[in-house]
Amino acid sequence: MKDGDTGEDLLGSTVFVKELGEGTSANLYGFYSLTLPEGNYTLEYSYVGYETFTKKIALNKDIKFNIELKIKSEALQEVIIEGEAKNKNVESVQMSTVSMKMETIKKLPALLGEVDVLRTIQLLPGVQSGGEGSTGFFVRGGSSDQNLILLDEAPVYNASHLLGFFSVFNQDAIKDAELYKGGIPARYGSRLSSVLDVRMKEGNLKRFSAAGGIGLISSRLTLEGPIIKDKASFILSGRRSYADLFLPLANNPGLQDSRLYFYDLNGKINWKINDKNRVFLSGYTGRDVLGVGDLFRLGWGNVTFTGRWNHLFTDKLFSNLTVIYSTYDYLLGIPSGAAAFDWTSKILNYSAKNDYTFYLNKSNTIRFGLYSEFHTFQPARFTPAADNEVFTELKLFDRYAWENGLYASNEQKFGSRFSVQYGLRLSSFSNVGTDTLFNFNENYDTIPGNGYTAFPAGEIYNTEFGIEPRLAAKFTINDQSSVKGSYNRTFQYMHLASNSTSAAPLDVWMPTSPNIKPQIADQVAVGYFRNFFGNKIETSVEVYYKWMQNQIDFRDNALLLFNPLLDGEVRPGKAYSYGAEFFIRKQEGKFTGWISYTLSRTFREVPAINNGNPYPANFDRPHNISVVASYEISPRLSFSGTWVYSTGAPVTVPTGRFIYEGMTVPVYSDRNGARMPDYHRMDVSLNYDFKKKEGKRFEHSINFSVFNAYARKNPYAINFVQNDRQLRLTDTQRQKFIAVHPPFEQQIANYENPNRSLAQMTFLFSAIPSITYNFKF
Amino acid sequence: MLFIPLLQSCTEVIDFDLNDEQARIVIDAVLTDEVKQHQVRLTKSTSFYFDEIAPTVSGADVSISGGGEVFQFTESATEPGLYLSAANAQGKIGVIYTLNVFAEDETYSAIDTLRGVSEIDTVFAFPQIDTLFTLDTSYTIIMFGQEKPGRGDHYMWNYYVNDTLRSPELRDKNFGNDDFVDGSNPVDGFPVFTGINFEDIEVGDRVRLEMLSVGEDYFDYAFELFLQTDFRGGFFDGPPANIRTNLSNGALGYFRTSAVVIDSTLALPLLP
Repeated sequence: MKDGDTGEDLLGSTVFVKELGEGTSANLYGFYSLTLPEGNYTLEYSYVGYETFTKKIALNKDIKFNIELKIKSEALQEVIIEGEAKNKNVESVQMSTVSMKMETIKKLPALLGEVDVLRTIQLLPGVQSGGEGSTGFFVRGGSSDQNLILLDEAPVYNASHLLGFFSVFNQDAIKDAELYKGGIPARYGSRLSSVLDVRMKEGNLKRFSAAGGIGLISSRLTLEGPIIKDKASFILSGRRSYADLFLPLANNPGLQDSRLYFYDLNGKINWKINDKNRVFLSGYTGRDVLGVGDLFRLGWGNVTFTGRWNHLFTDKLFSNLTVIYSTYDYLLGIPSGAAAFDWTSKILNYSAKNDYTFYLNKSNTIRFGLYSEFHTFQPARFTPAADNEVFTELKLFDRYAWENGLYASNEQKFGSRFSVQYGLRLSSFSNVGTDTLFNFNENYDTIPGNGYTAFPAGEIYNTEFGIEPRLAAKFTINDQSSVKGSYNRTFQYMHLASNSTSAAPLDVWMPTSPNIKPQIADQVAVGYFRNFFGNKIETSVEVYYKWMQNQIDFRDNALLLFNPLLDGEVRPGKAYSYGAEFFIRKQEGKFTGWISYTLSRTFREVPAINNGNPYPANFDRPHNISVVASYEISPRLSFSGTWVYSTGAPVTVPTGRFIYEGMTVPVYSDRNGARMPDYHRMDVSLNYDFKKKEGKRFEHSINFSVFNAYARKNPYAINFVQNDRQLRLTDTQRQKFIAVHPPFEQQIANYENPNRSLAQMTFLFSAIPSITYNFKF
Repeated sequence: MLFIPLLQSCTEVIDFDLNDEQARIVIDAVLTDEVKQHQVRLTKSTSFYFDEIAPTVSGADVSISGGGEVFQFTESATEPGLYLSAANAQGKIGVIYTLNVFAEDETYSAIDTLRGVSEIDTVFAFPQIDTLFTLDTSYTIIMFGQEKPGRGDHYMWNYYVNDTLRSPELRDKNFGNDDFVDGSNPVDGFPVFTGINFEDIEVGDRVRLEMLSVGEDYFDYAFELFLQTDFRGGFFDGPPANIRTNLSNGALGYFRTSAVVIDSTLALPLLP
């Protein structure tokens, strides 16, 4: 099924057989299959925002239909996040899932000129943002490395630009996204807590089209069109920010000399060879650069490339074969001075996968497939700057690993009320030489005489296996309500050791090895879904419990900077999280929006940390509230706002201090035993569509937005500073300061008191307004 | 159009309420193989925001025993919290010593082995100009010697100028171990202290270098202490954590035993 205007596939569109009262939905490639007994039927094809298309058929042999649906003539005003069918949230056996269509995300507040998939999912229950400046998100108590973020099936390691404001997903290039928080289907593996499956548009098959925006912070442009009309198309999308062009105007001298920008580029070619074969090539490249004067610089980037081949073996058997290349690198450096260096870390993946969908009959849809991935880790390369005499170039050993997966699952309907999705995934992970494995005893000291074992190139050693059952079930009470439950076990063989409480991308990805066991999670979830007033109001309640094993954390007093024995600095433990997610949404009318409230806890228990007592994870936020509201003031003017609130982040604070030989040493509480101030913020946005000229295709609009409208100073970090090293002026320096500004004398006396200690809070952003001009033709 | 810079980050001091724990005793005890009056200093930990000098602990019973001897420490009349041994007390190399402190109705103890130390053959102190970066002139103290054979030796250094200790605080001292030099390699011109302020030493001043043996645990203790104090604030910080100790019963601080060798020289002028 396709869009009549552009030829884009309509994922998840439905076909309903009136006479039988049931139907099916199209898969991710717009492909559907229905097996019915011979007879006459009326088929209704529908998709949210499009006119329903009805077709009468006489079925006496196999028939193929490609259907094109037309967009509804009045513009769609609803803010819809989920809902191919109006009551899809009730009907689908999938729970703990959110589907997002780009058209509908575009109605949300466009901060700094852009709407964003990652920002949107953080407004949903069960998804926790890392806070300002942070680039990760946390799903149901899982850490930020436990999210499988896929862009056209290629894994993306860091999906954030620019301090967490923008994601790498350009709104004009993306078709839709699906987030699985629980009940993860068997076809997904490799990550513990969630799957964010983002699909790019294929490109307009019918005519050339462009869209873009020019804003104060960034600008973007997308070009798409047919290569061969109705057969092959392309889409190319680029975006660049230029906030740094304005930095010389900043009144903070440290910023004047700084660089801060990102760019990204998405491209895709879609080729329909014939009715049974389609080929897609997609790629992404992007980079972030942050440099603060001469002090430090930071950069990261993802590159992905996917080649896919859809093939129809029969009318019932659909296959997708994909080859993927994906790489992520980041850099931290001190550009100048005696200790100038660059520290880079990189991870590369090559993978291939083959997925099949077999539409056995109207009650059974079987999926099976296999997947294989080769990882290369380059944990650290330490390159001194040219004029640095102190350090020499050093490199931690590259590591290699091979990960495989095999799965089979079935979605089965029992009558009209009960359906179950059951599946099993088998996974494996092996370390591959050339490798050097450091051997540790139970105290994490290297073993004298047997400090390490070397493996030659290509040797496969240490294979781990995982058995991952996946189960989801739905019972329909009536067409307005249902109950769902799910259980899944997931394995993850890659570990992210993060050294600080803020998710700055100082991440070291480490493979499973004899020193670090695979992570395992078990999650159970139960939910009640209920719609009111003929599906106008949607509500749900979901409760979950998740157990996680082999979660690593750095030990107390860990040595991180360029430690070849990094394997020995992490300690494994377990984690558990539980919560209740409440959600209410109004989808239709001039006033739309939703409220989500998550009540949850997440703890870790690591023998070497906090004396083995459980402690709250860094991203534990007992209360998390999001309110989203949109109001259509007139057909061309709409206003939207969001308000978010969460409990402050846990923080380890000093509970005392002592002096030892002139040094003031803090004494700390339990790990994460205190809380930062609560986080809350309101964003508003106003969108005005200019009048569209009759018969012309050109559309344009202007958007005003303010981030953090009431300028709340949300703490980014709190540091406890002892004065004994804070300020030590020589007599000459002190005299100079006082000569410049006599009132300094008292301030200096305060700060120079070596016994004094302070709590300093750093906050990142005050209110940030922005204007963007958007166009499309 | 108005534009407000993207990065408007600010740091401000805030009143952050901390749940203060109960004060704990802090013991700084040292026994060396020198014949002298050794010191044990007892203070208390305080709340984090306390802004005066640390309170001292008086009236405690302090002793160090080992090798068949007991050294009793009595509180100084002039400096509360400072406990002194007899003037002829001396630790012996190879002996395991036990510290016992009985203060405020609680007993605290620790054990440390007095390890031997190698000799300093020669020491030099001379100024150097940093020709690469700052063009500043500063003093450097270098030593020559033979490192003690056998892995696992750890050292600490102090220096004196005209008998005044110029490295009184832990951050002023230097620490090292024999990971890269051991036994057979002579230590040639190892720069122990560099970047000493040029004004602080005059040509002809007597510069004394003191080398002490410390245990591996004390070496790690000092490193952890730096990790939680002076080394903090960078990208590579680990999470804040409490440092180790060899004292029992919740006491903070350390009981260290060391063998000491010294060598001295006269400060040289800037060589042409």
